[in-house]
Amino acid sequence: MKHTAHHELARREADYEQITRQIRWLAIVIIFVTFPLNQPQSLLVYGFLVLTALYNLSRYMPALIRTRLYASRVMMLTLDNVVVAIFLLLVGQASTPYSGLLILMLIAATYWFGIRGMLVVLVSQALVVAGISVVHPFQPLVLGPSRVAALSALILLAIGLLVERLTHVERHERLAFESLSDENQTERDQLLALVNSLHDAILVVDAKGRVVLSNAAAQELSGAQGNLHGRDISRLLPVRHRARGRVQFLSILKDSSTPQRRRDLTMAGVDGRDLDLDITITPIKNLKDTNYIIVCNDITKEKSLDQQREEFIAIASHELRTPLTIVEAALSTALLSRASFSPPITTMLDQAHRNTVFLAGIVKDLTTLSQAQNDNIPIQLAPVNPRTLLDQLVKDFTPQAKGKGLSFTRLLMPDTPSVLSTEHHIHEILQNYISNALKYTKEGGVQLKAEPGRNGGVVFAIQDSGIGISAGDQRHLFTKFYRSENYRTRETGGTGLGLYLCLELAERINGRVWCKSTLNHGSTFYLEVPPFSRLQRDHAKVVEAEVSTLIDQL
Amino acid sequence: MTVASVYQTRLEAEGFEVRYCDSGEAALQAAKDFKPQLILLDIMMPRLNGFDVLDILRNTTETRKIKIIVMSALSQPSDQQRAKDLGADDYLVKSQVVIADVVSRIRRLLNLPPNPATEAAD
Repeated sequence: MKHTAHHELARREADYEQITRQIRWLAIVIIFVTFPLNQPQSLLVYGFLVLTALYNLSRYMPALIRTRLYASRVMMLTLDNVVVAIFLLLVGQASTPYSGLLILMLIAATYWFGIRGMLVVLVSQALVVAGISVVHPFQPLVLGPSRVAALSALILLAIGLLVERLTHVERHERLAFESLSDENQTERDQLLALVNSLHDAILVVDAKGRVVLSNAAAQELSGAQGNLHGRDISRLLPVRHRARGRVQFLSILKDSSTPQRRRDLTMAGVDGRDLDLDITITPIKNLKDTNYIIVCNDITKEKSLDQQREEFIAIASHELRTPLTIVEAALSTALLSRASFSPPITTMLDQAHRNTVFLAGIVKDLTTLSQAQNDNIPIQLAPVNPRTLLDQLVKDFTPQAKGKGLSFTRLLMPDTPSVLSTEHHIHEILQNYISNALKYTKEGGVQLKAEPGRNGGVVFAIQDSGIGISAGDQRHLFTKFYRSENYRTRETGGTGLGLYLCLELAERINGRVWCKSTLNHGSTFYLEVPPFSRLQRDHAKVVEAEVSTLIDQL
Repeated sequence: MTVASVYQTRLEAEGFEVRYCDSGEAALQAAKDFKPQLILLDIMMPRLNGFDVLDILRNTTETRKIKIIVMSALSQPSDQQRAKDLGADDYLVKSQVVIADVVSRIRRLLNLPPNPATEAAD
């Protein structure tokens, strides 16, 4: 749209310039035809005409046509004025019939610069004329009556032609403008049709939360009758937070200085049941204020599928545990008397045992994962002291590190604060980091570090001198079941759930996990814990959950 | 085969003398009669649960000194804390250990040297 408007402006400029040039040609022809040859200044006048013609021709040069700056237009107008002044000087007096040419110039000036341009030209020409009446090197030109008649006729003709030309351009412009707004209308209609055909509810609201634009799905979701235009978004989408209850939509908008996505809100649907919503809010800043595009999706089904999946994992991992424990224990016990088996049998038993331990690891991770994803298990908040935590981890893992001949050190930066969080989760994450670090480090060591984080939080870092992770693998590290090719070819096996588990646990305590690594130069895994992990659920649910967990386990 | 019987077999293979009880009441009785050095105690048992058993054992003169490792499916920190508060010497979450870990914890608590065969199999 912007592009088209710009295009229009450029075309208008070109039209104008063409008309000015045509006026000049007309003036040149009129003077050439009517100026008498036998005057003392005739030679000068013809020389002047040739120069003007050359100047006019130069305007056709592409390089000059392209310079459509305001400054160049002013220069052209000034030049035209000077040209006319010189001509009047040559003619010797202002009161010749040639002064009709002035009117032509005036019309052109108005067209290009409006009434202000005309006034400037008028005043400057008046000054020139006044000057000439005092200083005039040539005798006033006296034209015969036939020449005067011809000149008058020609000038009138020229003015007529100019006016016709201008009207033509105006009409052309109007037509262009009309077709442009037609185009706009079509584009708008197409967009509306597109927006209406989408399944997602889409609303555009202004800074005060009033609907500017909405689609059919938005109407359906809100269950409102009639046009949504101008209505209050907080009333149309009365969203609730699971724990905090009613949330004003406007306050969510005010928090959205950058695009944000919320999946934790619900609202009562048309049939009275709660709908889970997936809401994306994108702020659109314009000159005056900010509008917001709200895309809203009903994810009730998806969420309940998620819940079913989580329940399945919880049950499956729980049911798998007992038989696995028996198999592992039996194999491990049988291997106690390995001397009584033949070597091939021992090898097979060893393999069976190793794989059972691996399987038990997967089940253990799945159990922890399903507990982390289970919103029904309460988050317990208590002060977590980084020093105590690090000391505990060092104590737990030093034997393992020593066994591999690795150094295992702890570094507590000064002023590292305690945080209000869930020690259990932090411990689990760091434990996962450390056992990975020990697993993938052949020489050197592992360092455990805690330092002050943003806004009073803590950043934990586990740095190793191990095999490192390629940039490509780093992107997928925290995804489910991901193990880099590099690792797979090695004997060190992981379940592929560990880091995903870390991510899930970190989310539970509003923390953040990330990793920095260079292939063959070790890795550092980070966990940032905020000063306060928000408690996300209400107590009624917690009690209900505790009861159902107990029933499950009995 | 049950988990308990595998544990019994394993611990006997390690050279321990083992008694298995399938209820809290039986455990209390066995603690008095058998006088073990160590009890591996589950939490979720019918009627008298592990926490109750632990509480009684710790408040009975004859059984006060017996080492107790609580072993449970409950992985919540609050459960671990409760067991510690009642006087458990150690707490193991079932899903997080394999049998070799249990054996080495028992050996550590009883100040016995680690079994090289166990370490090798792990």
